[in-house]
Amino acid sequence: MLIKKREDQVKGAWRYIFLLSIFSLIIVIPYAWLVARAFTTNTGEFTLSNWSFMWKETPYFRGLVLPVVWKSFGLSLLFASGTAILMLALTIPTAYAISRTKFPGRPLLTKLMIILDAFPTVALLIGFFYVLNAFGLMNSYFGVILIKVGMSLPGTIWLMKSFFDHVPWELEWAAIVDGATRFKTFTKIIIPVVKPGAAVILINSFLSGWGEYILLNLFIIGKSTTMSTFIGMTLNNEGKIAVPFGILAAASLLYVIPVVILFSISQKTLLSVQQGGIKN
Amino acid sequence: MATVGLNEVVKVYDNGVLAVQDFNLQIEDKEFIILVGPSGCGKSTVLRMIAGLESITEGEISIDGKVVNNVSAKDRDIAMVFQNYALYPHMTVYDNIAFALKMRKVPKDEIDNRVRHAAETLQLTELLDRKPKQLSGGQRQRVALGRAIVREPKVFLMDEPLSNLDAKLRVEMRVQITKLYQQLQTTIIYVTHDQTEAMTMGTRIVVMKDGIVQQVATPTDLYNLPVNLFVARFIGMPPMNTIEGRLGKDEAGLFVCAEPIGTDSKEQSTHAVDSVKLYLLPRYETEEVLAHLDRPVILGIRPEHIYMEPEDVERYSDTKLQVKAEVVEMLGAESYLYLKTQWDSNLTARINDQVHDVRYDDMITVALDPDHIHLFDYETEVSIIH
Repeated sequence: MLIKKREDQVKGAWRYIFLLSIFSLIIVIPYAWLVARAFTTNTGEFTLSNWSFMWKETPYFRGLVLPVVWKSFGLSLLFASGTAILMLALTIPTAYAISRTKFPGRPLLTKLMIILDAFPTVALLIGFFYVLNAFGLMNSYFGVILIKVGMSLPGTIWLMKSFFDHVPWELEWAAIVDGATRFKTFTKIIIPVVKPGAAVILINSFLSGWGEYILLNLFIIGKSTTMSTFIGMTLNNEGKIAVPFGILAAASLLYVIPVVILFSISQKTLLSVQQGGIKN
Repeated sequence: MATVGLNEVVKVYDNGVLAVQDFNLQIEDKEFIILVGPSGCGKSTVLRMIAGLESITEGEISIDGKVVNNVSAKDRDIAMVFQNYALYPHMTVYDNIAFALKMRKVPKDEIDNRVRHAAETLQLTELLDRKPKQLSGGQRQRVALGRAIVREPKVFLMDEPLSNLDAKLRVEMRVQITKLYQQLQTTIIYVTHDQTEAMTMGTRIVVMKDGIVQQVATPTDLYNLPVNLFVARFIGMPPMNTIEGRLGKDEAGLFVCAEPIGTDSKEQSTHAVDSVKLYLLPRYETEEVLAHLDRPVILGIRPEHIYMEPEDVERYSDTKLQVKAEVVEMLGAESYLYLKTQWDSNLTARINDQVHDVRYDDMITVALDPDHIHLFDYETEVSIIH
């Protein structure tokens, strides 16, 4: 009886795996093309010449030259990490305070956060321009980080707040009674418990910084050299469309690699929700 | 290993709710004090105030003679066990137990000794490397106890530690905590809403209701000499039976004329079933009791003091009642009889035997043990006779 049921389950599982495989082809095929194209010439032979931007300046279209990629790569890395770290540094204490303390205006603040979160960044571009100018942050990567963080902060605080809301008071009380200070309780008990939440925010903001294009090209006027711009250069120059597919594929693949690494490292944390210490 | 004093302690929450009123209690060294009461009676609030997790609105709390109102929780040297265990989910059992010692900067090898000793006491040695989520409810609660005993604190505070366990485990853990208390010889303050836990574990019990202390007494005194109707009905399982009536006196002595008080008494008396007089023993004929003559009272009788054997009924013929049997519950060694009186109020009798010959709707005669009759004022519910 039990064995039969298990057999049924296995049969059912195969059906799902088959369906999911078909759907995943839609996503997998472009990536497969990307990998294939990055290592072949226009005529289909294997080559590594598409990757030459990794070690030397590479001409790619009617005398236009691609610079060596590492400056752009490093800059993107710095920009994305900066965004992620600042985001986390602001989100965690704010969300904790909103979750744990009662202060006048708290309900209004939480409502405002939802409204602010719904505000599209693009709608405020002109406003940002004036603000950045007033603070002397035009053409500064830090200025763009501030905009990025500021715009996503309400949403991430809201997300993080719900993680803190699920940490029972008893856990904090137990630590305090055990002789931990408020700060130690926060760092040794609370933070480890909400680690999956923090990881989600860290990864999301890193990716959003890694993929940023519009804000960078608007506010670092004509001088942005991050990865997204680097790839953009191969596509469009002075209104002329130039598509050296091999180089484009290689550059895109390079652009994807950090994301893949990040996900494979953090997957375990993302899925490990700390539980079992509390019974409700 | 300390005394705890609560002096006129009051707690008012920010939203204006008065949670605890004028709480006075002197807890001696090595006492096992139980705070018991229905949910929302303020017992957990008292415990949290002692722990320092809740501010004190008025009054003083002292530990070892030192007022601790302004001492923070971490410096009060108390240990606390919570209803939902509150184990640190990301730490192993070992680290959970060691946490408090690490916070107090105890040397590493001493921590190791103490953790292993505590684990041995609670049979946790095998589980030291596990995470809380790999443990059963009973094991988790033992870890929570281990986290408390490893500290060797002045006072143990326990907030309904067994409420989340199933019935069988609860009985086991109850025994384990009692053993632990005998081993540790320390002061324990224990909060529960379960009167069985209170009666079996405590050396003294504090019964609370609506933030007010009703009675502080040893389990036996609480059971035999409840000061009011609330305590009388709260302690004991099944609860004490109550019969409403009027205190009267005739040539045979003082009696309670059983009749429901709440409804219109005139209407009641017109189609009265033969009014039942339950006579009180002559020794109760004191000035204090006579002051209630002709006034409504509540007669209380515990289930085990209702008898149905013919010779008992004969002996206590002054307090016998005609009742209708509704349900008979056989528990093996004893039986519960759920009975209905002629004036439609319910009685429960506990018979120390197996009862086979009573069926639904049978009319039987029972007698109340006059030595164990309680009498309460109808309005104030304060005890008149116990």
